[in-house]
Amino acid sequence: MDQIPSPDDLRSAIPDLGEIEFIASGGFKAVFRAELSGRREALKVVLLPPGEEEGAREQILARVQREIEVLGMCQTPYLVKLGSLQAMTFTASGHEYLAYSEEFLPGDPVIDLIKKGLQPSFETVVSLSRCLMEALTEIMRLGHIHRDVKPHNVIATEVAERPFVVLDLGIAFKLQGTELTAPGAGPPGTALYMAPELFRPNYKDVLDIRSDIYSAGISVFEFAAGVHPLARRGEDIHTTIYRILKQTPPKLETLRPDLPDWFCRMIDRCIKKTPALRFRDPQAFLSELENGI
Amino acid sequence: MKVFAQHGHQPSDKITRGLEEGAIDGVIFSSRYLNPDKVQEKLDDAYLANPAAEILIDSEFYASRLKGTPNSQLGYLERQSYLKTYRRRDLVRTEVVERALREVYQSVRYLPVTAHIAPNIYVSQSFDSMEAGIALNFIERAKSVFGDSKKPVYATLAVDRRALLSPSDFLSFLNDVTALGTAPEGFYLLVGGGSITERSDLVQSEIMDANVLGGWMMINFSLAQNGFKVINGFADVLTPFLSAAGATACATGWWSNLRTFSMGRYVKPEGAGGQLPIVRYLSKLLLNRLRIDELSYAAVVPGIINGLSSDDEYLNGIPGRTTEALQTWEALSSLNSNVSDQLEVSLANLLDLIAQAYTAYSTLTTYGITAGYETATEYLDQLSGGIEVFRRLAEI
Repeated sequence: MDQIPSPDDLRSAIPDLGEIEFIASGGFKAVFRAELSGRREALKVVLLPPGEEEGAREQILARVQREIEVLGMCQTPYLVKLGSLQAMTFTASGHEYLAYSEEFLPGDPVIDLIKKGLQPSFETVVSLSRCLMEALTEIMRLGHIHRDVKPHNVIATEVAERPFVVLDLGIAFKLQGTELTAPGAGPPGTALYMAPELFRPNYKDVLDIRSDIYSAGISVFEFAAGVHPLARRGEDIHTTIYRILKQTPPKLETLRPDLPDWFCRMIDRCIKKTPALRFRDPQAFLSELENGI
Repeated sequence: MKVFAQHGHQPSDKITRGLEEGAIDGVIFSSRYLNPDKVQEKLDDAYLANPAAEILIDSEFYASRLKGTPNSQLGYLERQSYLKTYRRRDLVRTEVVERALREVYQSVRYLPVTAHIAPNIYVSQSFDSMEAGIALNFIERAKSVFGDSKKPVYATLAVDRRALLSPSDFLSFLNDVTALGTAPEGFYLLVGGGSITERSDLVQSEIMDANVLGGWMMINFSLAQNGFKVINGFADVLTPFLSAAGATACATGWWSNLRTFSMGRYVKPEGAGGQLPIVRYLSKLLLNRLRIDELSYAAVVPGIINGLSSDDEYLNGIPGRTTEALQTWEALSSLNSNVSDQLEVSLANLLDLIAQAYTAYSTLTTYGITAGYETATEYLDQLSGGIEVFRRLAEI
């Protein structure tokens, strides 16, 4: 995000804001670690485009509103919870922003663990799988699809009750709901983790929870094996997309022969190209996981 | 991996003996050949033969499209009030679909079947069609209409082979079916060939096609992966292939029109009819049927005789039709022993069976027995090709 507001801008706009530290930023959002009403929380600040950009401002507002709405209803520990700051808009240095807070989760994003090259144990891989599918179960219960499950959006917390927590429902899709992406726009999401069907022009017709199961499967595969099953380092994204659409990924057991066959087959099944060949829903995965264990 | 009888014309004692002798695990009764006044009696006979038998009735609702056509041959279906002429534009309406489902349910709800087969239309061309949309609606509503019986419900999915030749359309349909909110316990799957409006002798060769077999296996596989039971009607010698892909049961009968499905079976034959087909023997080794005189080939390839209990009656003269049916079911059950819980093992076993059949045919040619060699090996090519197509579709 360009035009990240300064800590002073934020302090003057948000009452009870204590210490603040920038963490990261994405396309239209910046995240800070902040003291809010005496608690450490993740402050999220969204840049709102000027009103003359037709529809863009409303679209972003609606997305954030949806994210807040969904997080507010979630009842699982495996999804990040809302913080104390309710959504508010403010202006700083001539730009309009929307701010709200989520709980702050100390820990590392799973992508950082992958980059460190540490080979996780079977128990840790199972734990990630279980947390992801529990989170998806809750998102599904609320009639949504996450659409951006990836190792960057999962925090390894080292808290026994919730070892992995899914973040960022910013592009969650409400089934049978209002469209929040511009007509004709491509699917939002991160290409490396997007299910093959989402690259189709009619992707909204085929979108269901199995697309999230695919993304979760790719994330678990990458975490377990240390490499993405289809992307190759240094290659351009179009080649990767071709692989996602056409190439059969290697079987997980070839990269992690120490993991049980049955578990490897479960992850391989999550990343099948045809949704009908994946698990029907996250509960089906969890049920088979419990049977296997 | 069960074997069921596909009920049809002239059942005599075939089904009861099949059940008594353990050659079959159940039966799919045909409403076309089931006298409505004697249904209870027929079902009782089946239970008496084997109290554990699975008993189902196919309403053959898909034959509705032939109702009222001058050359149709619908048998007892003519007495079923649910069999009506429907216009396609009416069937797109959910209330019409629900009414059709209810009418079939009313006709079977008090019968002592072990599970219900919910009706559907026949998808005659493509999965990217209005027919496919209607079929999906029938499947989605099946459980809610039939569900109060507390018995398992199998939704019919009856498709023409041509629908399996466009993988993208048919995979999209599978994606939709496996995502339905209200789903039945299983599916009664029919894959048909030939013409819809006339009788055809080409049905078997049309079904014995690599793409059709691969697609048929894929439907079984994806449905089974999603926890559905799949009963394949008119599967005959494809039984071990469909079982390997995840089928719960496969059915076959004693006439050729009970071994491969065609909508043409509901059309009167031209002319006065022909001779009855001769009695044949299903050889496990050849994965094919032989005439009685061809059993003498066992002198050079002993393996063409199955070594099963029903062989004796063949070796002592020309057996009756009941024996022929029992022999088919026994051979298919035995072929199913090549199917394992592990898909890769099953597919490897099936490829071994095909290779053994090639070898047997080649051995016969070295003894100068060349009749039918090309047809037989072409047929085996299609079977092995079907496994390859299936592997590709199932991403194995």
